[in-house]
Amino acid sequence: MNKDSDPLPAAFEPWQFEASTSAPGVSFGLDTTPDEHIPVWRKDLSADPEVAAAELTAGEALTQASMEELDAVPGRIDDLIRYTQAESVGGVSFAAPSTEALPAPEAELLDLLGTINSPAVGISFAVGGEEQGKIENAFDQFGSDMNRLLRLVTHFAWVETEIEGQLLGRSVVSWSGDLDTNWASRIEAEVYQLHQRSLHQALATRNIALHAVTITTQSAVKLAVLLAAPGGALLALPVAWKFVRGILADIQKYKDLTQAAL
Amino acid sequence: MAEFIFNGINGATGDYDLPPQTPESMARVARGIPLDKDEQRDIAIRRSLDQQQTEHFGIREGADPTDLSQSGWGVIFPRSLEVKQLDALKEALKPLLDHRRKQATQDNEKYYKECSGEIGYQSGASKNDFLKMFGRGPGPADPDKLPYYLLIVGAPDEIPYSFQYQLDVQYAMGRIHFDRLEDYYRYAVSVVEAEKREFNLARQAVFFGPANEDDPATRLSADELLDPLAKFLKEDQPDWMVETSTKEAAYRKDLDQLLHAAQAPALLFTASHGMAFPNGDDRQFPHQGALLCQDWPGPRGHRGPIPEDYYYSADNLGDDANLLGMLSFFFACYGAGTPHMDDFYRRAFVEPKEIAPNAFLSRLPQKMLAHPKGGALAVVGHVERAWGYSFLWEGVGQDLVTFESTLTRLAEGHPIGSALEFFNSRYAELSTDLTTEIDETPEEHQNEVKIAGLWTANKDARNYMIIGDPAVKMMAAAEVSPDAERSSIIELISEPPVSGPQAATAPEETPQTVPVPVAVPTTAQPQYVVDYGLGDTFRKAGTSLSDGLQTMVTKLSDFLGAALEDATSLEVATYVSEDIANVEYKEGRFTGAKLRALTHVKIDGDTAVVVPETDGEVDTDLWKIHLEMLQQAQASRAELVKTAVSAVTGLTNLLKP
Repeated sequence: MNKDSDPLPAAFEPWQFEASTSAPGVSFGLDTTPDEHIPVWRKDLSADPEVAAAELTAGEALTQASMEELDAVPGRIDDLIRYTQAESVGGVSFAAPSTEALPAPEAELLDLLGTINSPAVGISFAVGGEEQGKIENAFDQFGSDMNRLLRLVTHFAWVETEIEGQLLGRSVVSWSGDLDTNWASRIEAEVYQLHQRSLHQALATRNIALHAVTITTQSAVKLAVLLAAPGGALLALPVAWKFVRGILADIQKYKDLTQAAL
Repeated sequence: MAEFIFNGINGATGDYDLPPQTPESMARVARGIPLDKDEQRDIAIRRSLDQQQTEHFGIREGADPTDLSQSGWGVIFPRSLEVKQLDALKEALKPLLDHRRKQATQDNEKYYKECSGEIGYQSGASKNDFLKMFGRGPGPADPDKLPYYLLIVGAPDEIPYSFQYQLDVQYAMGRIHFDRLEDYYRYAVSVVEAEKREFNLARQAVFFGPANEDDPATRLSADELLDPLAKFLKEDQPDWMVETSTKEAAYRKDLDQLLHAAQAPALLFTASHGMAFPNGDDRQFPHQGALLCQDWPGPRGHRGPIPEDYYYSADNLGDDANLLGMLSFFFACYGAGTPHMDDFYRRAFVEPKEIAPNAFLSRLPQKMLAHPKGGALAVVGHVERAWGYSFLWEGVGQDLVTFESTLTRLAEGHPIGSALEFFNSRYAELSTDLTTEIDETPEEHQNEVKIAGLWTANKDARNYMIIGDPAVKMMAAAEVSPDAERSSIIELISEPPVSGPQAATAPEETPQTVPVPVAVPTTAQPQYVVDYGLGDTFRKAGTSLSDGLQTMVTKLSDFLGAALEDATSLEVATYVSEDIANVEYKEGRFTGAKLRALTHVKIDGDTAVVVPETDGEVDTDLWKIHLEMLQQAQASRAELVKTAVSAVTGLTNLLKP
């Protein structure tokens, strides 16, 4: 991971952002800049075909679940806005007690919106303090995450499949889907499929990244009605992203819990 | 005594939709429906222009209706739509909106207009209320204020037929409305791709229509409309193949064959009864306006409800129909749509009567436009009842000049909205004649038959309507587009938005197997890399938070927009190497690895393929892997472009003040 220390949600976990100079076999000649970070999707799978297939299946399930949860975001935002407006009398209320019954992402979202709307804090960065820190963190996280997600989407990506450290296939995928693949010679058909599946998942997560950006912008437009500050939709972007991020993180939590129960 | 016969059969009873009427009852209707003042003023202007200018087409002097950059194009949405509904509609129609915007704004940004939100159609507004928002009153279209071609997006209970009729007098109007967003998308892509790729059908026109036993209406329409119109087109356009499929060649199976043939005719013109059902009947919404075929043995040969086997409805149109690029004209009652209230009945018999629970468009044209294998470009049909007066005139007999002129204009490349101006012109003329007859002739000298005829013809001319974009043109040429082009368009329609690649075939089936130099253009250069620098932006002294976000969103939106435009080809390359760990990727290709297979697909469908060989034979194993990678790349591209389009829309909305 690059200097942005906070990891992205689990669906994007296999992606690493590696400096072009350290990425093996990558040279961009004149276009290379010292701080160029290449999105690299690397899967080192077990030599046991069943275990390898299971590893990929787990990743695919996470990808699928992430997409489904993202699709549910607009509805959750609508519900939240309705809930908020029903709770308030004579205006929008973000009172803490009303958020207790809400899922964590919704509760955090209302809390953050309430902070932004607070006359004592507003959107100024001039004053420090706990409330100010909350907002600042959300904006920092938004900046850091978006940079990585957008780099993932707009840069061309590097997808590698290894079996116990031995490289078997490497694909370079441009933003628009142009695909160059180099295969190790004399490998079995099953191994081809492993790389194809891994590549498919990598591409799907890239799509999720862009979808997440879309859902975030749509959510920000909706949430703007709850912001008293001017430029509401734009300012709601980091708040919306925090919500989306929270939902994506919940998928992993749920997965961990289910696995623990088994 | 003369009788007036409608082209409509009541499917529930098997009788005529309305019993034949006497001139006296028709005249009573005519007198009961005076035109309102706005309508009269518009019609007077239109009539005056028609008389002065032989080339007048509803648009201001000097503007060419065949050129959107001179005539303009706009779209009208109901104002009542919620923001998210409107956004969804615009997103689904984006290919069409972008395409028309580009065509219309070549010289003037104003020539493209999206009438939505505050300038959308407000429920209850008249045509003049609407025009007032754009600084216009009655008179020919002035694209500086409001484009000449206007597409209504909405159901007739949201934007009423009456509004469309009124505006249609001077503007070229069309309408679409579908139940599903994907149908809007399918239609938009069908039109845009057909036009961009110049997807041409054969110059073939088919005139289809039954002449049912003991049924004067269809006997007349077959003999006095279809046959002579076909003859006219043959003579007028000698390079066209013109076929008639009438009487014994007009069974339901014949129409089905036409619609499912490998090549659709560029023009399908039908004349038949349209099915009508009682208000609220189960079959009303799905089958009203369906085309009654030769299977119906006539009013004496069959008593009781009309079985579905006798008529052709949307239910009969299979997913394997070939409609892409087709224009259709349905001369039939309710062929295009059904109003809520029966104006005729109300005026004739005083009692108001509902025809249907609400106004709606007929399913068959809707389904034709949104067909999964590529939609028809437009269907012209009739709202309410269609009448013989469209082609027969008292004391004259057959009179087809309005139809003939429309066909000529279409064949000569006029957009359909412009070609149909002859009907609007006829409507204006008949309205003036009718008003004169009623207002200026003493009642004792009024001729009942004449008034009834004028009124009938007047409403009949008014109620022709385009379902589809009024700016579409006939897509026909001597050189027919190859099937591969159709396949490529179908792929776009059936999949989410994608910028063009078509599936490569297996090596032995690949017609264009041409070697491509190894040094292929570098498509993987990081040309799209942008630094959003968000963290820095927020901390930059003197930069407000809002400005920083605005900059980011603008950059991203611009990037995605440019990237989408750039996604005009897809390239998939397959390499093999003995020592994969030490192979480098330089300047868009692996160096030190052997390029074994390559496919390059352009947006226009051109495909270049390098096939892997081993000892002079095609390496089928590697080729299979390559093809799988190609399919994966295509699917991924499709998904990504779809999401990118959605993202751009979302970002654009975010930037709106």
